[in-house]
Amino acid sequence: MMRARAPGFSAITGALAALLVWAGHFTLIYGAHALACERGFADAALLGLPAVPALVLGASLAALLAVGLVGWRAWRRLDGSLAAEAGEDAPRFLAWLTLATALLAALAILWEAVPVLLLHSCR
Amino acid sequence: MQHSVFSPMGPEAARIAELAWLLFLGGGAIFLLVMLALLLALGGGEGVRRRLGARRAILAGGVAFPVAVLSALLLHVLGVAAALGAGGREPALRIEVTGRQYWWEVRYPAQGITTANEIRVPVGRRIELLLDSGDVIHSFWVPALHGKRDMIPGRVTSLRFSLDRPGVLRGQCAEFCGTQHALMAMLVIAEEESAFAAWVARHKVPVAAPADPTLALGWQAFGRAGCGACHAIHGTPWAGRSGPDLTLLGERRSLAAGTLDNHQATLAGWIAGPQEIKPGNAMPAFNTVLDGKELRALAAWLESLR
Repeated sequence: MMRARAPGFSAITGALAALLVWAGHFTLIYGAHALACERGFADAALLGLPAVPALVLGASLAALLAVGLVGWRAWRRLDGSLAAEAGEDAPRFLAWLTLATALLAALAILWEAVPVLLLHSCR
Repeated sequence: MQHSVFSPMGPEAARIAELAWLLFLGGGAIFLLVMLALLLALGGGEGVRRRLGARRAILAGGVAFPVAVLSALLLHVLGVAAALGAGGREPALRIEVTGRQYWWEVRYPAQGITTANEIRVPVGRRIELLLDSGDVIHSFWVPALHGKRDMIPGRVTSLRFSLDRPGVLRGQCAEFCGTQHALMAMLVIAEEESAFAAWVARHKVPVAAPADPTLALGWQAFGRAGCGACHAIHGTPWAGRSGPDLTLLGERRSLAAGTLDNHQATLAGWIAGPQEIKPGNAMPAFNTVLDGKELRALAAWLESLR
């Protein structure tokens, strides 16, 4: 019986990619928001929009796009190419894991971005 | 005297209490549901157990349900936070409160009043408290009024509220601030507009040297013992700022930030041995500075400040 090939480094970073995007998003909005308030940009405007919410929303949309891309690629792998690898569990598991972490990361990004729509900055 | 989050005295505390009930009841209901599922999983029939263990049930109960409940809760809580944070109407009265080890300095800048450990407010008016600290981090918490707000050295935080009806609300420092943290209480006294105005007016009357011989001895003892180095009394030469302002001291309900009831006997005991009552507070003992007669006279005079 052939042993399943161990997944390579790229497979693992693939499964972690969405969570890394979430971590980056979290660090960025947390740091930028605190810095903006500390430096007195609470009411600053950017192209006519309030700067702090605009920054958070922009970062959130970008992060959601990136996470969506990761999830979509995992979905496609589950759907198509894996049929050719029938019998090997690891790639299938990793694709599921990638998809699940992408959903988790998307939810976390959404939950972190919602307050900016409902609360004042810097209070 | 109100000292419970479950008997809110104003609209802000009421919203927080509602949220607490929602969490208690909602959390309780979900706990019961989970226990029911557990019972069925352990003792249910074959069919029930198979359906509970199906992927669809796990995704619905383990993923979709928590996501939906937590998302709804997040939106609701943010709505409450936004309502509390925005504070509604512009405040009609601003009061500055400074936390100190282990008491509260209370200032009414527009009225030119400084007092301590009791915050008098008129009912119906929108109030803003501007909170800071003179030493370490304290936390201002009057459970029947609003949520906690930290008092941070070098930074002013604010709390906006209004009270619908007269009442006395007890508050407590809610951030460990030193050995006497537990004896750092305060009262918020809500009264009708006319009573509040009368209190402000009484505060503005300069305190004069008393004619009564006993009270006059108390006045002299206050000066001789050097009390005025730390304490101020409106209209007198004494203007110390490191201890509580003692104008209208006789009207206050408690002594040493909620430590003792306030009357002549406790006043004398406190002045004689404050370190026995509240060890580590900033006030030294005067039992060797003043004799018994002076101490009684001083307590009588302080009680007469009303």
